Amino acid sequence: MRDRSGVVITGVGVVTPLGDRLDALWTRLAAGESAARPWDDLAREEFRHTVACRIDGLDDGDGRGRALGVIAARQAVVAAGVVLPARTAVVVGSTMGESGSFERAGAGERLDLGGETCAAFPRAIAADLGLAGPCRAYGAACAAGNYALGAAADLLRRDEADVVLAGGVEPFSRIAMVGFSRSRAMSATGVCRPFDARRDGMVLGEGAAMFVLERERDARARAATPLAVVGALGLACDAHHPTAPRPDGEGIAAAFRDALAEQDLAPRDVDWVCAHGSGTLLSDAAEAEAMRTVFGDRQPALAGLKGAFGHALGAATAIEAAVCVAALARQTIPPTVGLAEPGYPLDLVREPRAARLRWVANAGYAFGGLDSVLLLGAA
Amino acid sequence: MNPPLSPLSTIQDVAAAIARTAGPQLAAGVPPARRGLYLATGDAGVDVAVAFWAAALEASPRFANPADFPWTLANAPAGLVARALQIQGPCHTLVGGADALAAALAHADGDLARGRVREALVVACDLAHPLRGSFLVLNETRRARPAPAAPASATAALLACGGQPVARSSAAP
Repeated sequence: MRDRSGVVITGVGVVTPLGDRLDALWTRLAAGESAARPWDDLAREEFRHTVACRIDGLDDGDGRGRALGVIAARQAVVAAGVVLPARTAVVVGSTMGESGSFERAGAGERLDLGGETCAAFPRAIAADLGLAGPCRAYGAACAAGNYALGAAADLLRRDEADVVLAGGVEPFSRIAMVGFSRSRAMSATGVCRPFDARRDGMVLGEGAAMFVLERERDARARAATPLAVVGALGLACDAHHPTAPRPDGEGIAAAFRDALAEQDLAPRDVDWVCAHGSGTLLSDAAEAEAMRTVFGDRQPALAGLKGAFGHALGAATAIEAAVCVAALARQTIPPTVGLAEPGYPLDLVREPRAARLRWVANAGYAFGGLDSVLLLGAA
Repeated sequence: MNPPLSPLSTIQDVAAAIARTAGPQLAAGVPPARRGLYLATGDAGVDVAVAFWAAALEASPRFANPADFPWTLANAPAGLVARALQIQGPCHTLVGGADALAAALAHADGDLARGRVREALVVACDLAHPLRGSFLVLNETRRARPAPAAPASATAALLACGGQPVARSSAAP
């Protein structure tokens, strides 16, 4: 076991369809609201599924993903009250990058796409904030936010940076909308119901969440208030199928075990699992199976958030990590919006629940068989 | 060892070639969960995303080919390599040029140093680079060395580190 307690979050910024501040997001989430609604433009364009969670009114002239990332990063820096030092790194996870540019190119526009990959997002944030430190981009699909936060913490532990801005960014993507629809992963009813017996698929989202990470001693030295401890990132790979999870959930379970071992925790130390909970038949089933495998008859509380703000793909685990930070501060578990009829004998949270939260596990899985579990602790 | 890829090869072809060539060089007896994959790419997903959307517009979004969709994601090549070689430990995809390769090497080195993995496959998977793909197998005794900062692509940087090319385009000099 290594020392995993030395990195903390001191600032959070979010832009989501359910709120563009963490307090606002929490308030609407706790109230059980969902941002999902049908969109006329998608209907006009002959999309089979037209319900999504999108952000209205975003000034995205320089690229929607860049705009989301920059807004969230600025928020996080202000919230942290930090003067960014020279050794500030930017680490961002996403799926395919500035997908709107690929759509324009697919429509025949001549564009240089070399600068439109996932790497565009950390570079845009660094440029906006005048940073010259290292930039990293993790193309880890729907687990990308967790990857970015784990990597950011490692940069600080290895003393390769003094502050890291890290998180996930995902602009709304017509390519993803069509791709998931044609892969039969989208909800025909337009309602994401994580772990529900009647669940029928996901609803696409978008957004960004960025965090200021610092070594705890540095944060305390400048009298900053740590919001949460960044614990271990557990990783595994199903190596099973391009898109489907292992039905036995063993890859997911391995990621849980990896995180717990790295942090020297036992399963009973986890008070809440912030589930991937995409609302698809296969993914939720595999996740439920993994919960049984890892936690046995002593199940922690389980809540998934995608019924509230959709599946934001590469930003999903980052936005969910932001909610974990809010939950740790409030010692309250948010509800699983959309869940009406639990499909599994798990401790599924359907209403906000006051609880003693020491460690929460933020889970995210992805195409390509990626399994990730990030531990976040009370500060 | 492998047939050369044509200039028209896809990112799927590059990833498959990497898996074919690297597989025999992995050590026997390493548990799948103790192997890690660390892939750097500058362009994985880009061409497929553009083609996928062009096809969707040509007919209708309702008829886009679902089999192409996973390849619009940057981590699809890593997924193929992991499946082919049954790598069940950490699986990273870093997007960028030599900087991404340097980060991939750092991840591999860190995981080896702390015993999280016993063997690390570091891969560069670029469609646009003439050599397109290369890899290094690292273990407890052969650790990473820093990637040079100058090359623009991950493939070039990994070759400069001593990586083995797997996919030489016929268009290459």
